[in-house]
Amino acid sequence: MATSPSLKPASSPAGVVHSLAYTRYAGPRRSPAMVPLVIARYALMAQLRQRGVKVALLVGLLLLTIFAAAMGFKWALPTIVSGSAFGGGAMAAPQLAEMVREGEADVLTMTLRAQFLPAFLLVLWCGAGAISADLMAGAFQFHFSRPVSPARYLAGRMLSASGWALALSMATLLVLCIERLAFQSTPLGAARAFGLGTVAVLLELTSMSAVALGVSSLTRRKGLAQAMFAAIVFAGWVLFRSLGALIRAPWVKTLDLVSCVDAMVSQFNHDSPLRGAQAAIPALAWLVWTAGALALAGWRLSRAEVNRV
Amino acid sequence: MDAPGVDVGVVACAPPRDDVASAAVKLRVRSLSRRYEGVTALDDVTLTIPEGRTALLGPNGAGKSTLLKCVLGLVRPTAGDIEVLGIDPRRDPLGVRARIGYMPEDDAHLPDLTAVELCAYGAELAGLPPREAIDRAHAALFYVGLDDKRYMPVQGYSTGLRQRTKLAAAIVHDPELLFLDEPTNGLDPASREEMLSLIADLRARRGCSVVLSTHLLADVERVCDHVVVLNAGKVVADAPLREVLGLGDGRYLVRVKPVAERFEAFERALRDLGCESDPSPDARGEWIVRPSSPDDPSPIWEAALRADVQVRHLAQRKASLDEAFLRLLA
Repeated sequence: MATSPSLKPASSPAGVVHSLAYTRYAGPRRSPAMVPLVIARYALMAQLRQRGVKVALLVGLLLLTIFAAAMGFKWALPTIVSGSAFGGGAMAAPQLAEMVREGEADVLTMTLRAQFLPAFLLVLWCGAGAISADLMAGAFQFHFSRPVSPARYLAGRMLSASGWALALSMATLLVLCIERLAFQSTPLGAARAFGLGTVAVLLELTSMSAVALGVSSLTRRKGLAQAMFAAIVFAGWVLFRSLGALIRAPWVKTLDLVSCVDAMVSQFNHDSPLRGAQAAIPALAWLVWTAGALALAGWRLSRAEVNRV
Repeated sequence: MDAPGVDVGVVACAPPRDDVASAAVKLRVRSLSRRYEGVTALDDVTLTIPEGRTALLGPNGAGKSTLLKCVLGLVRPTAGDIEVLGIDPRRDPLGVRARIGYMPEDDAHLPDLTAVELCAYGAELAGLPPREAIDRAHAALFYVGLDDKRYMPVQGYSTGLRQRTKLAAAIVHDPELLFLDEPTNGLDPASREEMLSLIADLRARRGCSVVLSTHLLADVERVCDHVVVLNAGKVVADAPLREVLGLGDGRYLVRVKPVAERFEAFERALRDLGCESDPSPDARGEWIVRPSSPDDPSPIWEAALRADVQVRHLAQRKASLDEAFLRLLA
């Protein structure tokens, strides 16, 4: 490391300038590709200080415990009954196979259902207000005067918007898969359920986070952004449900932000009512929500990169 | 008020200073233009910012912000070349931003982060490893005078503490070139003095060149040694501060004991000794004198001796930067 030209204390009337034997930094610098991870790490750390995030995490842990106990009981019961004097001996092979299939379907469904409310609350707290809060605090100047591109900023915000919800959902999925393995499933079946569950969780959180950030990029007011996000999730669900029932078109019910992922999970479980070309509608709806929201946020950030610095 | 003795022609529209050694040049701009729809924000701007402390001056709308955005690679110039620390920001904007620091005028912090976290975050964004980032965050905050307050969230800080935090965040990744936008805005006199001391020290101790954008010209006179003035998108001055102030043009301000009946004799003696002299507009008994040899004021002493006047003040004439600035803009 090279030393600076002079280390003598500078003259300052208040003595504020301290001599630190300052040396220039000559060590390695990490690639700008690491920027999203840095943004996410600091944001996740700061989010943990918010009461809403703590409450949502506690609710999530409570629900995880309840669902794990309930599902464990459900899956363990047939094994206990079939092995007891009341069970009438061993189960027939087809019956057992059906039970295993249903159990794996349960993993997907229950992971999403158990953590929907906490995941929604976490994305609401961590994502829907994220860009608004940055706009309000002048954080765009902070980011975009450094080697941070709008795309990397958005990637970092996506990770931080969904980080805690992802951790909670994956913990739930892991617990349920371990229970499956303990009571009914084979290692391969449990691994399959874990893989599909991971995909389902990622699909749900990616679309929710993208929409939360898209909405957040529209306004400096954090509360307004959160209200808009909540309205899109719940009002959208009610609207498309009602419309689908009114015109008797089941595919319309899969167009909202939440139902499109649910419908895809049903397709994973082979119990979707959509057939033929309609089967692609939930995936298309998911794509439109996610890509549309990301494009909106990206466009707003590109403008902000220039105008806010 | 006009500033007598300031020959603005010397500094206005100075040609590109290619004589400045490349190693000492931090920012070089050649024929840079940037046009928005119907508006020319920068018009054929050519300037060179050397090592040291440079002031970037100009009225609102002069093009300072657009120039800064071009430097950061946020805005693509319509025409011309720009080179920051040897890098073309159009080709590698992130590379430029990793090596420069920017302290914005407005608040620029992140909600819920303390000053230490904010600075460490800034350092990590610039590519420093986490351990090094936290070490340098503490050092930078100590340097700007934030002690135990560094562990408090920034949104609760006073204006002075926020300014210091912004400065620490701008220098934490060890930039080679630092842009400061109105760093003394909103500070009380003591805090302003401390901020200016820090800015002066940055160059001396950290080897960091500084570009200071401000409307407070007294700050510029305190800490800068080079001045670039923009007006309506054009460069109207790009010169060392002493040239802009008129120092070195061979003029002296002479004040004598106010004995009116000897003034005429003093003026005659000055003329006889080859000096040009004009009465100062500021006070009776003062003259602005240019001796035949700019570095030798001895004829003034000789004239005073001949006219039997008592010299009470003799110094090289300099205009205030306010006067020079207004004259340049006019």
